[in-house]
Amino acid sequence: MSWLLTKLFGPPETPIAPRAGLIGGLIALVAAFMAFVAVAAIEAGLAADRIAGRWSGELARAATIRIVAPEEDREAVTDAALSVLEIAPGVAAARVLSEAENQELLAPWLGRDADVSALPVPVLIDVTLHGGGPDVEDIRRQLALAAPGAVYDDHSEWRAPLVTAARGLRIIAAVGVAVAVGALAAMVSVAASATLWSGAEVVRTLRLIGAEDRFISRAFERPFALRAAFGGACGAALALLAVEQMPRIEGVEAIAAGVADYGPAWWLAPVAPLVAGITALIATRIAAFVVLRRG
Amino acid sequence: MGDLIEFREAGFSYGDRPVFRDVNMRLDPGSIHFLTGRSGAGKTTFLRLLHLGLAPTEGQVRVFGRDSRGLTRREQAEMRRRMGVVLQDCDLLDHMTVLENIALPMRIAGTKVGDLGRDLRELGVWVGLGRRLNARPPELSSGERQRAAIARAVVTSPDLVIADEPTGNVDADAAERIMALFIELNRLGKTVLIATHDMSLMRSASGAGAHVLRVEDGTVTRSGSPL
Repeated sequence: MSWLLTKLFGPPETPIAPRAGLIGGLIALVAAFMAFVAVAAIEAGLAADRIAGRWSGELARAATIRIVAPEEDREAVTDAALSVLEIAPGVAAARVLSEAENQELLAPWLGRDADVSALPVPVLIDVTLHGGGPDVEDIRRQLALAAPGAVYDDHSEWRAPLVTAARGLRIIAAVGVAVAVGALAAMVSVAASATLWSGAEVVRTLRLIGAEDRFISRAFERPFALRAAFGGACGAALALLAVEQMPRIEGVEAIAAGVADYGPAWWLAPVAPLVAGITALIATRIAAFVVLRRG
Repeated sequence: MGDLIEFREAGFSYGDRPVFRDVNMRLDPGSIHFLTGRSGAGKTTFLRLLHLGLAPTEGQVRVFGRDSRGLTRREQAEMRRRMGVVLQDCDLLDHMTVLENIALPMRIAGTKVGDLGRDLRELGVWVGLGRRLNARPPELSSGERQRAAIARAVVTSPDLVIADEPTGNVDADAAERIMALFIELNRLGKTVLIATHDMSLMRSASGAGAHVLRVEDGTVTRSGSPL
């Protein structure tokens, strides 16, 4: 870290810019808030992405065939459909769901005690796919010929909204991060400009003895970048600890929901202060460039 | 070595108010000059032209052989590093110690100050601040601040030392000590230009071969013979 600081800012010597004081504290505070918001947004985005990805992936690896045929034809249509599936490329296995499984599926709506056999529930065939699955149009055509009344559902209707929702959440998270970084950059720019204007005497002295704009700018960059990095580290740590403290779903339900591996993204701990520090550094450099050109 | 500074038919106006025009003069290496004139005559403007704080509105000011108007910001800074400047209000950085202030031009020049501790202390002793090097400027008297500014001005061994009213805020004894430092710098081969309206200061330099540049009636004239 000290090597990096020395590389970026030069060897540690008495700072040339006066102490950042209240403004420095304010930058650290804003950086902490922004890092908290950014880390929380990233965590939310990652969690949504993870769950949607898992569910979408599982749906993509399976298909369902509904047998919607008159009672007397159902068995024949079911057998015909199974025959088609048996030789179809991309199909790993196919099995008819039992009455108990149908009941389990309808339980959320009808309750566990409902007599499903009395209802016109279609026969359902659970199809496990491999590779990219069968060609959907082709298998639909074959089913229409061999087993009229068998409807092939590749779950794309269910997957699309999940993927869209996940993409939406990712965009919201990215916008959240961008807003946090932008707000920090804006705050640091204003603070750096104010400090440079109020430190006009220091700037005048440095120019008097031959300092180039780049040297003057660097003199102000270091304290601001370090304070932003410190604030960013604090904000990120708080956000990660908050995520760590959130109630978890555990056990079989967690695996089913795809959230068993849910937890803080610890890699954000070093990344957030680095991003905050670099953002402050760039914002200060730009502000200093503008102020020094005008001054 | 060529001329350090040369004015060629140079003039300067603030808007339509001319300060001076048609100035032709040069500062030779190793010379010592006093720049004098009544308050508001344009001494500070003249110094700012030398120090690249202003560009002439007419003619040329050539600094170290270069036309001052054609310099980039980086080149201007480079030229300034070849000059040492002492102003009346000193311009020391209050949050740094005297030693750190003296070392500042070295840091700007990219020199590692850590290796120069002994030399810097010797320079501090030379200007009479040997025991005040760890003090901060607000703790110093006006004379001590001026001497710290002189040490800072010469730390990089510049070709030209410019001082604007360096004894304006100090008592007679301190003024004499400060003047003695400038004369010694000149004896060490530095070109020195001191703007002042203090006649006693100029008299104290008699025998040092100093010339007088007088800013008067919109022009700058040079005395024929040294003081």
